[in-house]
Parts: sequence; C-alpha cells; structure tokens
Amino acid sequence: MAVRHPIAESWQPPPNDSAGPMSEMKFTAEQLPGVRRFTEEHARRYKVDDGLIGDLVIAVNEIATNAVRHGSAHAELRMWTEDGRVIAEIHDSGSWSLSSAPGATPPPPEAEGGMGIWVARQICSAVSINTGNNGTVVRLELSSTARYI
Amino acid sequence: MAALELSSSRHGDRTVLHVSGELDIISRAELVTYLDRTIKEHGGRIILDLTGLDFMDTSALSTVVSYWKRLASSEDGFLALAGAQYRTARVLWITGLAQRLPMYDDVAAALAGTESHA
Repeated sequence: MAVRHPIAESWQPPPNDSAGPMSEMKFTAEQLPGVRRFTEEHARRYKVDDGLIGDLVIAVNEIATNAVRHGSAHAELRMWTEDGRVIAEIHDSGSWSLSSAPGATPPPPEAEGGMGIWVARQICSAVSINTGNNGTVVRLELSSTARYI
Repeated sequence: MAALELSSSRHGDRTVLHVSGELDIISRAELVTYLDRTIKEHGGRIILDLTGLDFMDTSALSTVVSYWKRLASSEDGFLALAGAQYRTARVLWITGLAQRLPMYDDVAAALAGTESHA
C-alpha cells in the first residue's frame, strides 16, 4: 500500500556525523513483541553489555507501549549508536498532554499504572520528550557499558 | 519466542497459576480472564508461578498489583509470586514492588509458606 505515513514527514534526521547507521521499525500494539525483539537484536549488534540489554528492552517497550496506547495506533522506533551510546527514538503522531516533568517522581508505592516513563528514567541516562502538532518523539539514551540503576 | 501460556494446578484450597511467555499490555488480558475464572471457580488463594516467564512490562505488573490488593483485602484470599527472576521480571525490582509483594523462590516454597492452618 502506498499510504504515506505522517510520521515519515515529521521525523527529524539523526543529529550528527558520529551517528552510526539507523534502523527503524513501524509498529502497532500487536507488534510490541516484535519491538522487543528488534531492540534486543540491535542492542547486541551495537555491542551493548549483556546486563544492560534487558534494561534497554524494558525502557523501549514502556515508551513504545505509551505511544500506541496514548499517542496513535501506528508508531515508529528508530535506533542508532552515537558516541558510545545507544539512542532509541519512539515517534507517534499523537500529542500527549504532559505534566511539566513526566515520570520525574516515582509512582506511589502501590500504583496500578503510569509507571512507564518513570521506569524508563530509572534505566536510561537521558530521556527527552518532545510533543507538538506533528506528534510526539521520546528519545532514550543509554550508555553501552554503564549501568544507571 | 513464546506467546503467553497459562495453566494451573490445584493444591488443596490453593491454585498455582503457571505463567510462561511474555506478559505485556496485550497479553495481560488473557491473564485477567484466567485469573477471574480461577477465582470464581476455586477461590482467591492464588500462587502466580513466574518460573517460565520471559518478559513482563509495567502494565502487566499493574495487573498483578491490582489482584494482589484485591485478594489481600478479601476474606481468606491472597496472591503470592513464585519463581520470579530479575532477568525476566526486572520491573518488579526497578519499581521496588519486589519488596512489597509476597515473593517466594519457587512453587514449593510458596506452597509451604501459604499453607493454611485452619
């Protein structure tokens, strides 16, 4: 099908020359298992420490879940390496209404939801969220070797 | 890799629910259906066996937490976890809920630890 996806038009290219080749995957909620597989395979290819791969899979899965749950039915994941870090960007074409710093504080002790961004922040060295009329991009950065939790 | 598989075994008044495969925002609905049916048919004394789990996200963890709270506040009910490992259920530790939920190393320990003295 030749339907042009709005995501493709609003996507910003990876930022600088030190970035490695980018891999991308479009997904829906039903394809979240594939998102986890894709993340794991690429993390291995990028030589991310074994102990960190599971953490990265968790973080990407949480943000990808938010994207297809709160953003838009179709979303996209892009991954690349840059200066010893793995970057994963999750883009959806919805606009989140965000508190000033989502996920900055831990969920209440017996929370029954809303833990995704907070969990990603525990795992990643940096989490940035850009939301606007063209959609939402969440960017996760993880050092390939350092553990943050 | 495995989709979600659920099975159960009865141990007196307790049900051990074996979870294998991946628990996420989609597959957790199967767990909810299975848990509701088990509780209706056999009562709310549940051990969730996570030995065969490959993955769990925070939405599935939220589901587990809500059943834990509901069963713990019911008369004679409980939900305990058995066989959870960091590699496959790391959201339990990342969120700190591993310190709050009743956890046992394996099913045998869970059965011993939840034996009714009535």
